[in-house]
Amino acid sequence: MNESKLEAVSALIDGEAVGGVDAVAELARDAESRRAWGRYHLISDCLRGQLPRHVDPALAGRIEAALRNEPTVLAPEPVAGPAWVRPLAGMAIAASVAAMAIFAVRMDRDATGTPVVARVAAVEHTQSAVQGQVRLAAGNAAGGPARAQTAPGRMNARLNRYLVNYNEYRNNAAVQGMIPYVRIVAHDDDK
Amino acid sequence: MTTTSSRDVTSRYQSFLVILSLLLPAPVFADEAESSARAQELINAMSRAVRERNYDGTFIYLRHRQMDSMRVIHRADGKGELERLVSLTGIPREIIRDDRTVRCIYPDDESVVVEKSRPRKYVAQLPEPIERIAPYYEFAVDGEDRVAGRDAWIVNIQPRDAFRYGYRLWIDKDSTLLLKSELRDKSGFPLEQIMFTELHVMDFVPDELLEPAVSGQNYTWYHSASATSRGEGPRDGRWIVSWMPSGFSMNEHERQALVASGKPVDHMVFSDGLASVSVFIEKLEGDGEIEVGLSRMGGVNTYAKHLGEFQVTAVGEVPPATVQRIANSIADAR
Repeated sequence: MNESKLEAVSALIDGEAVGGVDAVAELARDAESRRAWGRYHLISDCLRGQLPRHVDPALAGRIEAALRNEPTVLAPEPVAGPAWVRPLAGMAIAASVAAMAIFAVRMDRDATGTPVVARVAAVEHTQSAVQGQVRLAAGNAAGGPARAQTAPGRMNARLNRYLVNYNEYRNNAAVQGMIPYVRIVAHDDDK
Repeated sequence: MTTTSSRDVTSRYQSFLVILSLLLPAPVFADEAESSARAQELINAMSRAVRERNYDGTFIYLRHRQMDSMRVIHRADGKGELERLVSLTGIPREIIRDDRTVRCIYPDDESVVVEKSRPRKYVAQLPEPIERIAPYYEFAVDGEDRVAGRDAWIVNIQPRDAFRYGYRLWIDKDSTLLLKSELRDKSGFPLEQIMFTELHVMDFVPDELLEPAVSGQNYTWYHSASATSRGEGPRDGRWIVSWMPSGFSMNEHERQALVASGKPVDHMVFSDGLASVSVFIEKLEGDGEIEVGLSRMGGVNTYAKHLGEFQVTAVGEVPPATVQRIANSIADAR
């Protein structure tokens, strides 16, 4: 994606024009420009504190995709639920693509733990400490659009790390088997 | 008088029924207990088979109208387990897992992430004794079906309250491998599904099937080193979780230190023996732009909120209301 197109899109949002590039035509023609358009609006909304409660950077793409595709026969009809339960689509892929963060971990086991909670189950295994590099993806590190240092991106990175850790510690290996890893490997349409 | 005599008749009829029910066996109960025992047996057999057999299968993963297909190849022999999971949809991400490491290959990012695999429980099948789980879930064999061209038993794990999810498993009659599984909410709505379209059980798995499709030679490799880390010292008991669904208790509480930022993250793991919820508590770094609220990915829900200068996030394979309520019940003891 070349600089002048990006610049033109950015300028257009501010109501200005950059010489030599017809930004409006670019938007009509080029998907990259449209994505940049979406991102820049997001950034300026964020700066102005106008972010909606739940930001979904891929919303436009998903709406377009949903309009384009018929729901697959295999997909069950969702039960009408509270509007705020939204899949944070970027997470699914960011979890994998953002390179599962590796932590320096010091495992201190505390049998007494937190008080109010009922009995603490015995921890059955020992775990040796793991140290590693941490790669905090500042944005959705999906190969593709430039990594924007936006707030949603940072939040995604944090959620991703949690998801990876959660996957490692969940204990129903018997029932779900490889499902935790399936979620990490899974592809995400909404980039 | 009519009223008195009809009352007499009714009460006599009721007494008759009581006596009758005491004398006759209660077939429904016996069937339920048997069905439950059989279901648990099948689940145990399935978890053993998943670890002990050699197989190569292709399956679909479906969540919220998104479908992927993947392939899994698993070998178990004298040298231990080796498993490869590769995406057949879009970018060919892979995970290769053995007894020591998990290697995640991301062609889109040109990176390979290697970390230690957590020890699997080879002996216990269901992660906890059934007695621990039974108060909160019902187990039952719920019929038969055919998946991937194979005959299967259907096993239901039904939560007894609305704070948990249930499972519906299709277990191959022949090999007791898992053919299909659904994660369901209490009303039975499937949130996440996997379904094999073909499955080959083998005596022997050739090496080529377990080799990654990309060598990852020119990729960036992220390793977890074995050196011990500098921790933050013992965790303080400052966090109190005052609500969890009944039967949940804390399994683990760790303090993790992130190498890059040096900031500690408290990680508590709660479980009722089947479902688990992780709570992460991290000090906000002053970037301020934290998105609070609910999110979902497939079967996992998360809820994040601020608590003073900390961010509290609950992550679990439980309904959104559960993670939300858990997160909201967390208090700072200080």
